[in-house]
This record gives sequence, C-alpha cells and structure tokens, in this order.
Amino acid sequence: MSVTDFLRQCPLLLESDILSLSSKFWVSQNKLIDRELALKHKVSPKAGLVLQRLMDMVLFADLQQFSQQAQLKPNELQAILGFLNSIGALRVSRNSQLHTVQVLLWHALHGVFYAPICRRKPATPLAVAEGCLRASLSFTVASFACATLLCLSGAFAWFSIGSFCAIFTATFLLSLTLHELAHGYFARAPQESQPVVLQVGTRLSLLHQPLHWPQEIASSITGPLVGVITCLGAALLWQQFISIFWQSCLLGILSITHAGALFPQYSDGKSLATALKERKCLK
Amino acid sequence: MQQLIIPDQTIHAKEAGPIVLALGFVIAMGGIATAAIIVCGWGRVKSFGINWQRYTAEIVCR
Repeated sequence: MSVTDFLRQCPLLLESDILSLSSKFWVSQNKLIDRELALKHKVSPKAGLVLQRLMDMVLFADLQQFSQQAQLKPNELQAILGFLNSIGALRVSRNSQLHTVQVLLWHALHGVFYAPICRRKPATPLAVAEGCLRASLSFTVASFACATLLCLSGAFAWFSIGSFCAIFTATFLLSLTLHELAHGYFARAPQESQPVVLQVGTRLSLLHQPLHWPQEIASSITGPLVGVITCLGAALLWQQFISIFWQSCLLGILSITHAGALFPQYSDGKSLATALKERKCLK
Repeated sequence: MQQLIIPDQTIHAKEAGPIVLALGFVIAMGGIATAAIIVCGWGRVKSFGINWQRYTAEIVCR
C-alpha cells in the first residue's frame, strides 16, 4: 500500500467519536504488534506516541490536539488512522449513527468520500458467513434492483424473475461463504496463529501467515472448486422450481465468478501463480 | 508516511474475488435492462440479449 492508499483508508471521524486500538494489538518499542497474526509493524517515534495514546479510549478531538502537540501534520494523523483501519486495528464508538449518515451524505454531495470502518474477526464459520453477507450487501441490492428493472421492461414475468433473483442471491452467498471457508481450512491447520477475516465495504479478505507451496496450491484451487460445486448442487436442488434456462444461468454465471478468481493476475489465481513459482524455484 | 509506519509484509491475503465479478455482471444486466426500457418504453420489451459475435446488445420491442 502507498501513502495515498493509507490516506484513503481513513474513515469518517467526528470530533465526538471515541477511538481506541483493538485489544489484539500492542505498542512496544516503536513497534505495533499484531498478537492475532504474530506481525510486527515498525512505527516512528512520533507515530508511536499517537498509538500509545490510542491504547486507552480517547476522544477524537483530544487526539487531534495531542497530535498537534506531537508535531504531527493533520494528513499524517489521517494516514496513521487510515493504516490502522486498513488492518482492522481501529475501534470507533459513536453516539449518533443518524448524524454520521447525514454528514456522509452531505460530504458525498460535495464529492468527498470516506472508507468504511473495517471489521476484523477470527475466521470462524459464523464470522466468515457474516463477512460474506456484509461484503455482498451491494451485490444483493443490485440484484434486486436489476430484477425490478427486468420486470418493468416487460421482458420477464414478476414471479419468474423474482424467484430466480432470490435463489441466485442465496446461492451466491452460500457458495461464497463455502469458498472462503475452504481457503480458511488450509490456512488454519499448520499455523501458530489463526487466520482472520477482514471486511471493508465490498472487500473481504482472509489474512493468514505464509503457507508452504503445497498448502497454498491446495488452498487456492479448493476455494473456487468448492464454489463451483455448490453452484452445481444448487442448480440441481432448484430444478423443480426453476426452468432449465434459469438453471443454466444460475450454474453458468455463478460458476464463472468463482472460476474467474483463478485468473493469474487476480485473487486466488495470483496466490496460485506465486506458489507455482516457489515450487519451480525449489526444484 | 513511509517514515511513520512500515507495515510487516509477511502476511498473505486471500481476497474474495467472486464478489467483484458477480457485481459486475449484475450491473451490466441492469444497464442493458435500463437501455431496453429507454428504447422501447415501460413493459414494451419483448426480449433482449447479447450478440457475442458482434459484441452488441440486441433489444427486441413488442
């Protein structure tokens, strides 16, 4: 991540917000220690002062004042908070969600957008399912909006497109959850630290320590494979309720989205390519 | 910023790629449906599809 990326990762923070560092993190000797993933991020003395302050709950207005006293520029504080948000280390508690929505909309009208607050949890099946549900919210809304447009166009009947849309969305959410759980299974077994789920807006990541190449290959292939098998199972399960055309759509489109994750420049395909290169180097 | 924080790069991430692809498909479908409504009017679309040989969307009105 570059400097601009860190700045972009900073969420909307109001002066009345109470900030703190997640209990999974610790600041010691100019290092930010991630106890969950056994990572050590190096921090400068100035950033260390801010992070030390965040070990306890602090009002954002007070933190801004503190950072000024520590001779940190506003964009430097924003970048530190952006970095913390990008790794799921920032905890924010606020009183009025309604006021936050008002401010977000007002700023959006003026072309200013903020990163969502990152959610980070240990990769339990429930946490993975919750992460998939939250990350796919825009997909679900877009699917139902698309179904409404298709009905209004007159090309499809309400019942056929409505039932297909509900089945399509449910199958996608289930296959995505199983896809991620399959990755998690391989990432969990040999490690001293457990993988975690990181969800920011539509972005869902499973963070884990580096795997040996056989596990990395297995993990990268199994995820999309499980996704495709789930779609196949769903198409067979729903064959009594939807026509062969809609079944083909369900199987084809969703399977392509899972298999598409294997493109070498992207997602699982990128991990697979790296593992294959490692294997080649070892031979 | 690079002097303020240097992230530990040893971590690996598996991104949930299908979300972006599926969202792209749904937005594309919604776009074609919107175009069909604009061309034919409410409830007047008979069918529409994509001609993969010509890479064009084909809309048939009632």
